[in-house]
Amino acid sequence: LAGFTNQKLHRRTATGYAPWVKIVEAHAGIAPAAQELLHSATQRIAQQSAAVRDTTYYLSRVGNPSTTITAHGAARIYQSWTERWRIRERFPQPDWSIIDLWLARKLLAMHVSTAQVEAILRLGSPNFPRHHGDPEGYLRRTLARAALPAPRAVCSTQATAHLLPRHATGSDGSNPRGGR
Amino acid sequence: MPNAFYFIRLIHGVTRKPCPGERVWDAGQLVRGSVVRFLRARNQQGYDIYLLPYAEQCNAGYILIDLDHATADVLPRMRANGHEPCVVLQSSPGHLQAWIRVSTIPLEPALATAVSKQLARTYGGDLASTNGCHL
Repeated sequence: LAGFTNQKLHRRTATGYAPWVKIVEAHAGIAPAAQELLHSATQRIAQQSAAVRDTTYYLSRVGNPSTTITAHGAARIYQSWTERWRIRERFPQPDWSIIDLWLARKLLAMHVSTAQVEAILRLGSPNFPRHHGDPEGYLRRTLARAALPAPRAVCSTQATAHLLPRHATGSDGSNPRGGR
Repeated sequence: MPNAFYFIRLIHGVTRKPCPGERVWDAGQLVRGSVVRFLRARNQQGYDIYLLPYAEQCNAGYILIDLDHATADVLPRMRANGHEPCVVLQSSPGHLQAWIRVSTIPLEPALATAVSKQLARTYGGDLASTNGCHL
């Protein structure tokens, strides 16, 4: 790379020159853990495919988008996505309100009707309505929030802190929690 | 990064407009003096030179991680985890790009993207650069 420079304006040096592009290190060879990387990536893709397949399958059985999905179908869809996102492994005590929001965002992005998303959350979310005093209001607020642009990629590892139970974080939580 | 072919793109550093024409060159062409002079000349005219090992519709087996905001220990951590890069570039002071070879045969784009995302999350790489065929 001798003689090559980075021409982006915001990378200019203090003196106004384009910085040199340098090779820090180079050697031939495959990464020792390449196989493990490929294996885990393949598994993740398969899980995602299974979640999409389950969602499509159970919703297609309903036929009419305004008809409510069965409890079994809703639970299966919810479970597929929690498996896909490895919720149980990553978060011993997940805040299911946050998972509800993630799932609502995902399903809306897949063009699932709001009525069906609401039914999937009501019938599939673990122990719903849990502590929510106003379940219908909770679902309405969750869907409204899910329809807004996501602040970041759903279920990213950076979102971990938001998944801790409210009592563990001292946070006042977010809208979908349903508290008054 | 040994490979049969390389995809070259020239993008202007200020206007972000690509230089007309996309180029796929083999390794022999790429190290030819006249080609290197051509690329240097375009670079001096303000174009950044982007290079990607080429495998038609697939990823050639190399994963790029953009380490713009990485911590100083990132390369030792990558080595310790068995994710040793085959090439590390410093594109400007404090900004590294690491290429990790994960396969000797081409990968499906979805698989390459999944590996790329995993590595970017693990090492604080730029998630916007995790398309499996990112330049």
